[in-house]
Amino acid sequence: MKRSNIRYLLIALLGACSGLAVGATDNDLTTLGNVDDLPIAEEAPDLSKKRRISFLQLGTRATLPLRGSNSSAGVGFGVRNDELITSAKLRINYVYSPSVIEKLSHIKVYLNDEVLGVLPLENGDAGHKVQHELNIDPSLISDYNKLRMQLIGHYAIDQCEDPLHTSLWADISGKSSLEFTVLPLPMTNELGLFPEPFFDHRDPERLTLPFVFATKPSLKTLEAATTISSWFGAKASWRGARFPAVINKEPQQHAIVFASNNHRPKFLDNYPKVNEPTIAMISLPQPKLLGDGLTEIKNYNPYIKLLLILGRNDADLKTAAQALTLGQAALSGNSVTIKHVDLGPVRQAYDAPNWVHLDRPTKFGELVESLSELQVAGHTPQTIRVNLRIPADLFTWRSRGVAVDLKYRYTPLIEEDDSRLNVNINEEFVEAFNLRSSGKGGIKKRVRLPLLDEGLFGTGNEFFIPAFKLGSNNQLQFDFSFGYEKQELCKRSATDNVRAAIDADSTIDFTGFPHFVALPNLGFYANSGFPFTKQADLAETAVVLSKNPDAIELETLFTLIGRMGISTGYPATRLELNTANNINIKTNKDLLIIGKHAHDDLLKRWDKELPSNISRLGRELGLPVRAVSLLNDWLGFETKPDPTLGTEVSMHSSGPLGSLVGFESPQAPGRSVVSVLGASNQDLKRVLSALENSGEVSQMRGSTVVIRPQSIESILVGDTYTVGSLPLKVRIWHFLSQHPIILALLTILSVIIIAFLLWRALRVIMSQRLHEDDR
Amino acid sequence: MTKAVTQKVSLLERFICLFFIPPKANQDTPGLYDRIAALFPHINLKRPVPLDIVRIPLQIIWLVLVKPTPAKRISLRTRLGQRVKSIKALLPMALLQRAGKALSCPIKNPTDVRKTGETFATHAFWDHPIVNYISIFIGAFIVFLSVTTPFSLATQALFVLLLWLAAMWVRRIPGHLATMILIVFSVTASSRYLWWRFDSTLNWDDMLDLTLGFGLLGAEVYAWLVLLLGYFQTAWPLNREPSDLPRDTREWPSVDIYIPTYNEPLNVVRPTVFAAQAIDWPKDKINIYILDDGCRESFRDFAEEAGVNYFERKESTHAKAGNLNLAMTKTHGEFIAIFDCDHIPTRSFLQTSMGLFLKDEKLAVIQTPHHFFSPDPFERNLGNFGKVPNENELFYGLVQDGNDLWDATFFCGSCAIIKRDPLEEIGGIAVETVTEDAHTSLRLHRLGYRSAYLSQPQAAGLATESLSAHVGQRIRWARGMAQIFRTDNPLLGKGLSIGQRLCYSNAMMHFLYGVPRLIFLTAPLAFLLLHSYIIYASALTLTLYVLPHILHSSITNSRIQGEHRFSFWAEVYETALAWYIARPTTIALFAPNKGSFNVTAKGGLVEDEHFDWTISKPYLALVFLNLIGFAAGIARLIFGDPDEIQTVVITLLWTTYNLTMLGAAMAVAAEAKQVRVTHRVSIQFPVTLHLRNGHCIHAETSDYSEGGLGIKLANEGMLTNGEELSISLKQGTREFVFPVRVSNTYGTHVGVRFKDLTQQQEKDLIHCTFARADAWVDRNKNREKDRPLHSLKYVIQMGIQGYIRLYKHLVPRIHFVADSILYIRNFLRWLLPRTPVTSK
Repeated sequence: MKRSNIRYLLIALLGACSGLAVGATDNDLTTLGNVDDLPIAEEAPDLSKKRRISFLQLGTRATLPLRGSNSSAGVGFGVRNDELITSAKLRINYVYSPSVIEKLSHIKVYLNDEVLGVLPLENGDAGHKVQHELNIDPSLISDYNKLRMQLIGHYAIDQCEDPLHTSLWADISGKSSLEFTVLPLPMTNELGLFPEPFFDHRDPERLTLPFVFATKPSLKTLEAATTISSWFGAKASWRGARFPAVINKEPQQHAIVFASNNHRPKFLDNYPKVNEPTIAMISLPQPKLLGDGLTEIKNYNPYIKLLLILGRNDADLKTAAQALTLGQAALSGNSVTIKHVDLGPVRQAYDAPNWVHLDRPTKFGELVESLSELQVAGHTPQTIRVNLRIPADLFTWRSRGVAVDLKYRYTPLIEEDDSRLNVNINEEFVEAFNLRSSGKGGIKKRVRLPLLDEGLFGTGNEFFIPAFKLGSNNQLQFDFSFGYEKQELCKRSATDNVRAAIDADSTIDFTGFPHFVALPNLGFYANSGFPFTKQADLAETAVVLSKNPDAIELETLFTLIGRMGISTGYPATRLELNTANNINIKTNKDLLIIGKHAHDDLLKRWDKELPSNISRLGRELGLPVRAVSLLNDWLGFETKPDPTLGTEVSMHSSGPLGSLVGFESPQAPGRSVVSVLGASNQDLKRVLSALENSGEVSQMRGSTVVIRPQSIESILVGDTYTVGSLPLKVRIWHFLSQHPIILALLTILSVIIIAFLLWRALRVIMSQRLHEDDR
Repeated sequence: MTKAVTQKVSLLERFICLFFIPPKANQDTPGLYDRIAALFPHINLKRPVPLDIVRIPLQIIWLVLVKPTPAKRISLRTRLGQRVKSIKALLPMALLQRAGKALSCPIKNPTDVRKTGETFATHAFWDHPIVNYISIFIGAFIVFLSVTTPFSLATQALFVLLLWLAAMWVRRIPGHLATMILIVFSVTASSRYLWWRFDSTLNWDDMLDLTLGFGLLGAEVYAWLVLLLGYFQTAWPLNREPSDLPRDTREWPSVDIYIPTYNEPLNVVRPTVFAAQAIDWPKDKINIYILDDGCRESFRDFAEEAGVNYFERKESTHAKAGNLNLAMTKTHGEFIAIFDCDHIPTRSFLQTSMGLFLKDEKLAVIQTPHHFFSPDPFERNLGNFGKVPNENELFYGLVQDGNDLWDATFFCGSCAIIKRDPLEEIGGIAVETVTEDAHTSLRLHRLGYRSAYLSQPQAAGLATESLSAHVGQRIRWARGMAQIFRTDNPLLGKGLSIGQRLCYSNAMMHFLYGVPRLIFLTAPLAFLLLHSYIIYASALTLTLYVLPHILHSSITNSRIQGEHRFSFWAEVYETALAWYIARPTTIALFAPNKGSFNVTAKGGLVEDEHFDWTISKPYLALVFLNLIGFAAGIARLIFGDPDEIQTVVITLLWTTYNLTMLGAAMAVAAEAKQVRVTHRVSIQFPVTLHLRNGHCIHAETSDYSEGGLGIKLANEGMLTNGEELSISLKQGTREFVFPVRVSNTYGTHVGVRFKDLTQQQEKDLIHCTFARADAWVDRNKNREKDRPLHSLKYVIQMGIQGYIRLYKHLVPRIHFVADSILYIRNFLRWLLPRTPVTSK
């Protein structure tokens, strides 16, 4: 014991020296184990791990360009709170210009503004890919770290140089990587640190957080779990999140455990019973098997923490989960109890915190995590990116576009040149502004982001694609580019002194659009969880599970609900779970069906033949008779894609196949059903991984998405239906605008009828006037 | 070639014949001379001029080298014409017209279609109130939808094309019913345009665009309103027939005839008085009064001499209205007929109109048209007297007649009869505004009295003789109407029917066109000079929306108004007057009591051909602005954003149209000479000439004026200049003889001037000429019908003419340069070879 204590002391000292704010102080060390009150395993194995992160994973693009002398590029990375870096190495891949002079030129590498080392630019390797390794002193590494590469480049010795000469370049590859050797740190059981260590925002990797249950967890327990998974999803945000389910086993990493007094995973048997909903944090107990089948907990593993959601019964679990996610539990110490939780009123539709405001213009400041994202420096600075999450069902027909009140500032120009600000949406060009020396005080411009114009020759009636082309996740991009004055060679010219910023007060205005959209469109679901996420707390969603969901189905459930949390930024506090054989499935909710059996069972009950029914063994897939005929559509006789099935293509492949199927609820018109199916565990995992891949998500649309191991196929078959409401006049206009011939014929007829009536009236008036004396 | 001509063969001809032609054998077949003459159409071989030495070889060279087959060749002009035609055929309007024609082929017999339509429309089925209401409701709803439904470019194109084809088809059908359909089509198309303008062409993001855009939109709303009210007014001209009088003349009422005058010369008033005396009415029931506000001795003497009453007024308060009101207190006729002192009534005036009064107790006013036998400045300066309907004609030919349907015909100050009792009931002629006439009838209507309109001219007068005078007169009307609109708005107040309210409103609102017209004339500059998108839409979309609006309204208006106003002429008239009307109407709308009365001057002369620089200042300014805009547009076309080319082209076309209209206005400002003291009226009736030698010649008049006659003789040379003779004219059964002198002869046409007429003879002459009952019946007999494209071409020619005249007058000091350039051009043209005349 003594020995190990010393060891921890040493580690802690090391951590303190290196400036790591792990919170592992002497005091902590003394309290360590208080809760468990049991000794720690004596023979601690070597826990250190190797980890490798490429720049790409840290969010850079494929290359980091360095142009001109003094130009620099950077990448940031964080270090988890529960890990200690014992050694680190930077492996940089780069290519550089053959024109630079070896003796004078190099790339300086900074870590947190201290020079880490220098990358040589030797003539021999110029123009080729070069790899260079730099060892990083772990003491330089802090929570947040900024790695910066600066090009010092010269192409001439005796002459005056142009520091922005095109021959001065180097490209750092995005495949350059950081390699760490990390040692896990034991953590105190301090809820005040929550969500660490379960989620550490410094960690750029996808969040994987197992949920641990006793065997056959009840629906209430699962509901509690989904609430927590969506909350973690919201936290994980762009990192993505997976929530594997662990049934009655000890997890091998930080995990959340759901346990009621009488229904606990076995390894928690000895944990004291609770009298109230309770949240507690413990180290992983390591039970020892006793002779008579009982276990005794001898040791705790301080490297693996468990968050216990405890309660007398399942309802308590739910309360605890809600309190945790709504921030209503006063988290401190190693255990808290919850007296009461207030869910608040049901949330308004479309008020998800992550979504743009629909009741007022949204400020850019609200759309970025930190305001520094709106600022850039350099002659060809990086793009300023503003992400927008937009409800998928905005009806933008005939809109002039979305108004953006853009305010921007920039370093005033000495001379007017070709300096510009280009505005793009989803990499598509919208508008450009010239930067002028008059703009130093800030400029206000109004831009209209163009919307899809669907019409006779437009993309047709397949879907009403809302705003922009990619659906609900959009990005506004602002590219500043500054020209620079080419002065005489020997004149000094400051090089890197230009800055530009988009004002956080700039707004984008999504107010005033009605909600109306044709479904099914699985693109909406894949992108933003629509229509379920319409209510941020998922109050109008019911998930239907198989009667006895297995671990993989549960993982699918938590991960899918976690994805909705990513979309909304709000925990799913009002989600309802059900099993397929339960008669009491509320039919006035949107249904998300998960798993291979739930789907079949439910359809059996509904006595419904779906056009695309993949669940069965036959794996039949209906294909539409034909695409919409443009001519027919043009004349206004037929506007819908033909809903009838042409051929039933039987796909007798027995290979892995996952799918998403969307259709209107057979029991409640206007309600949507999305089925997530997989014939096997691999299939479901494949579906999850497809949903995590933005490239594959962008291919998902229509009513059926077939996910094969290598490819994705989207089809629209079957009836479409609309959700949302339009004012009647808009509905009529929208219909008629696609049927010019019908309207023209009706108009001609009406004109003639009105003319008849006028003619009759005028004739009467005339004869009255001519016989005025008879009156 | 007649024999007489061939006998006079010139030396040159003989000379040429020597070389080419054997002596002619037969005169019946075209002689060789004729054949040669046909090859030299521009050269008078009989009377050669020295330079023919150049022209003949030129022509021969041209014939040899260029025109081997003269008969088949077409002149450059024709070829150009064909080219223009083929280009025209590509223009949307022509294309659509053609498509319309093609579509309307199935109409074998349009009259049958009309009958079928009318039978259907008169079917008792419609009488059922439910059918009536439901169909009007559904019809209105669908039309509303077709006005408001937004379309993409292609659907809009398809939609408007279908409506246009339908309208073109309907256009072939005669009759009122088809007119009604066209009107509803036009209203739909224009409303759709306006809705679209409001809905999607305002740029709310840019203040300048929005402000200017609203300005243009305001003008368009005005135009739309006036279009709709115009349709309402003119949808169904009543075409009232005169009513018979009782046989017993004792039952006929007594009439006072007022001839108010202020500063007109006596020679203008004389014919009017004489003609008034000639009116067929029981002598004891007609009294003629000259109401002289100028207190002139000569008038008093003339009245005494002629045997009519003379009132004078020392104070001239309230001008004409005051004059009439004072006279009313002194006379006692049951009816009052009012003639401006230059309006010469026909003898049938009272007999045709009074019958209506006897038939309808509540009838208070009968108005007849104002017909002008002298050209107004437009007609004179544009040289289209008798060819193109003048500005007045729309109003008297159609609008007043249309008003009559709604019992909204109003008194126009002259050529009208008013019943005394109702007039006294409203306190006499209204004096509050400068258009006392319209205001008076508005008051009568408010009391429930009725008015009537007889569309046959029963009097004729002189038009204003200069543009400045014309402008002055219009300013007065416009200001007066604006005053009434402000002080006694017909839309408000008691006693009027809806029809009357709308008709009066339109009559008044029509005069507010000044500001909107100026906006239309300058709107393209907003884009060309300020780069402001006042219509925030792509050029193609704009075209697809505005074209139906323009096309439908122009074919509909051409159908309704065609006889009385040619297409595009309204724009010319409005452009010429817009600037002048804009200010007084705007002022009158805000301060109705400001401003003074000005009398329309008539009967004067324009002695010199000159350019009225004073009056054309605003046109020049507008032309200048538009030219700058045009230049800026061209520059933008070359150096500007390629994306904007369509927009620039459309705006340039608009500017060109504006420049054309301004050119036509300037053409009017170039005053042509007006030296004729008396104006000729063309008419044919038989006369007998008594020569001094005792011979009688029967002949026919070609025209007459107060000073003389034009006579067409059977043969040339029957009379010689200066010869004195007497001429007898028939009037009914009576025959009058007048001494005349031949003043000129031209072929069979002879002009004679009256010589030393006694007052009685003068009176008789008026009887036989201006006072004839049929004097103005055939006035428009020889005029062509309106053809919109033709009319447009003519207006464009006038526009170009305006610039030529401006150029001529602009450089008076270097006049000879301008002249010599024109001279040289003409000379070269004269030299050029011509296409041989092809003989059939």
